[in-house]
Amino acid sequence: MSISTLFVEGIFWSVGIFIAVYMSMSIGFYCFLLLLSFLQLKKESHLNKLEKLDEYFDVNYAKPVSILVPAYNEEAGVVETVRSLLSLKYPQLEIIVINDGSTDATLSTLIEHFQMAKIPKVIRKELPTAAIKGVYQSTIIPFIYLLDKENGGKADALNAGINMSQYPYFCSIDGDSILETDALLKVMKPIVQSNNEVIASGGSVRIANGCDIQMGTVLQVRISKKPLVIMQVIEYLRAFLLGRVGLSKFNMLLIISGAFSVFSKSWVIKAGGYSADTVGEDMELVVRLHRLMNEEGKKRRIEFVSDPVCWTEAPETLRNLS
Amino acid sequence: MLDQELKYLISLIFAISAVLTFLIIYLTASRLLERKNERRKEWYFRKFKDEIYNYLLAGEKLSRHLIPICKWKIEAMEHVFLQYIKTAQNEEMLMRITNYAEIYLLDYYRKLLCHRKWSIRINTLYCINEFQLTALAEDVESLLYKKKNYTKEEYFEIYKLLVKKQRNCEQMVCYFAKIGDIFSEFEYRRLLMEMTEQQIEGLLFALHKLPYSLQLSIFDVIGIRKLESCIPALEQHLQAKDIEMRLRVLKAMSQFPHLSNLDQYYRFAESQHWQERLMFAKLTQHFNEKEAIAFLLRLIKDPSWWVRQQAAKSLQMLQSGYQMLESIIKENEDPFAADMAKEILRKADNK
Repeated sequence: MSISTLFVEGIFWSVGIFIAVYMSMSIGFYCFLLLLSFLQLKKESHLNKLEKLDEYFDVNYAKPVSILVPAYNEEAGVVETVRSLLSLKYPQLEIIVINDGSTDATLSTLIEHFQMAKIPKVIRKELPTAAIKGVYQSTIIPFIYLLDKENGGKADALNAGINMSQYPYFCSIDGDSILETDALLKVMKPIVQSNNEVIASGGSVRIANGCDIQMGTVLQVRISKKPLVIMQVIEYLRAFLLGRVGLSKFNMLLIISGAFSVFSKSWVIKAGGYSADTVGEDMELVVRLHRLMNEEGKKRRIEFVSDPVCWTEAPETLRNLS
Repeated sequence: MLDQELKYLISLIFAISAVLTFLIIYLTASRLLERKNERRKEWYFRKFKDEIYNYLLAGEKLSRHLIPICKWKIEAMEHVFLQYIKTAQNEEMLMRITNYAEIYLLDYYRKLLCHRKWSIRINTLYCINEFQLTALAEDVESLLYKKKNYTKEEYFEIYKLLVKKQRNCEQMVCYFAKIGDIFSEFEYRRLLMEMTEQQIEGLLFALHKLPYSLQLSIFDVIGIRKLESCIPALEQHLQAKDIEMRLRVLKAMSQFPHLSNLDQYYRFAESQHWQERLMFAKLTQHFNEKEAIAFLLRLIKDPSWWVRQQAAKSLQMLQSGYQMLESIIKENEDPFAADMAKEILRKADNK
C-alpha cells in the first residue's frame, strides 16, 4: 500500500472513530435523559391532577409578576396578544408592552385601543438600553403600560421592560403564544413553593394546530392530520418531555422557552440582563444565570413545569417552515 | 476486524431499537387501558349524575348502584366529589361527601396509606384532607411513628390533617421540630392559616424550638390574620439579632390597625438597613400626624429608592399629605424626592 493510501485510510478511520465516539456519547446521554424522564413521569402518572390552584391565587401567597411584551412592527396582532393576557388568572400583575422603535402603526394602535395617556414615570435604569421616548398608561385598564423606545432589538426591549417593571418577577412572552388562563399560576408554582430557591421557571410549549381553541382557552386537545405538523408535535414532545424534564431534575436546564418563561428580576439584573449581541438571548441568559449561581455559591434552581402552559401555531407547509 | 466492529455496531443498534420498541408497546398498551378506564368512569358519571347531584345537594338517598364495590367505581366517585368540592362551597354538601366516604371508603384508604407507590399514597392523603376524614387522623398520625422516610409532599398532606385535629400545642411543636426545616415558607403559611389563634400563640411561645422558615411564617401569618393577642409576644422579637426576623415582625406590625408602645420603633428610622427604614416608613401610619410628617419628610430624601417610594406613599395617606407632596415638588430641593412625589400623586389621581 502506498503512503498516500495509508494516509487517506488513516483520516477516514480517525473521522469515523470521532463520529462513533461523539454519537455514542450523545445517544448515551439522551438514553440517560429518557430513563430519568420516564421514571419521573411514571412516578407522576397516577397523580390526581385536580389539585387546587386556587390557593396560589390568594394574594397573601402570590408573588406579583410583570409581563413584558416586546413588539416590533406588530400592529396586526399586538392588540389581540395584550387582550389574551387580560384573561390570565393571577392576583397581581402588570403588562408592559415595549414598542421597540416600530415603523408601522404599533404605537398609535395601542394608544387608541387601550386609551393610553403619556405619564411622567420614574424609571430606575439598572440595565443599559436604547433611549426611552415616553411611557404611557392605559386610562381604562391601569395595569397596562406602554414603553416607547428607540429600536434596539428584542433583548434591548426586554431590558427596558425590566428597568420599568415594579415587581420582583417578570415574564417574557412571544407575540404569537396562546396562554392557558392558569398558565401564570402553574409556572409560578415552583417559585412560590420553593422559598426563593427557584429563580426561573419555564413551561411546556405544545402545538395548537388541530386543537379546539376558543377565547384563548384550549377546549379539546387534538392532533393535526398533516404529517409535517405531526413531526413537529413529536419533536416538541421529545424536546420538552424528554430533554427538559430530565435536565431539570439535575438543575442542568440550559434553556427555558422564550415563548413563556418567568425570571427573578434581581437575579437577571445581577447577571447583566439580556444580551443584545446574540441570537438566542433566552438561552444565553439562562447560561449566565447558571454561572452566576455557581459563582455566588448559592443553592438556586431553574425549573421546568411539565404541564402544558403555552400553545403555539406550528408552520403547516414546508415553505412556512423554511 | 471491520466485520467485527460492524457486528458490534449492528448489535448495539438492535439492542437500542428493542428497548425503544418495548417502550412504545408498553406506552401504547398503558394508554389504551387508561382510555378504557376513563370511558368507563365517564359512562358511570353520565348514568348517575342526577342521583349524585340530588344526594349531595338535597340529601336524597343513594341507590345500591352508587355503592363503590370495585376500584374504578371508587375512582369515579372520588373524581366527582373532588370536582364538586373544587367548584362549589357548601357545608352540607361537604358533610354528605364526608359521610359517604366514612361509610364506604375508610378501609380502602387505610390500606392505601401504606401502598408502595408514592402517587397512590399522595392521592389517598389528598382525598382524606379534601373529604375531611378526621376518622383517619390516628392512622395518618401513626405514619409519623413508622421509620419510613416520606417525601415532602406526603409530610405536607399529613400535617394538613393533623393541624386541624391536634389541639395540643406541645404536640404540634414536637411534630414540627421532628421533621426539621423541610417545608417552604409558603407551605408553612398554608398550614398556619388552618390553625386556631390559640395554636399559633402556643407556637409563638415555643418559637426557639421550631424550624427557621416556620418562625418567619408565624410572624407573617400573625400579621395577615391580625391576631392582636400575639402582639406582646411578637414585640419581644424586635430585639432579635437576625435582621430577617426583625423585618418580618415590623411587617406584621404594620398590618395591625392599632399599635401602642410606639417609641420602641423610633430607632428603625435611623437603621443602617434600608429594609428596616422602609418598614418604619410604613409604620408611621400609627403615629400622630405631626410626628409622622417629621419622619417622612426625612425619609423621602433617603438614599434608597424603595424607602423614598414608601415614604411618599405614607405621606400621601396622611390628611395633609397631599399638600406636603405638592410642596416637595414646588421646592424641588431634592430632585429624586420631587420625582417620587410626582409619581405618587399621579397614581393617587388615577385611582
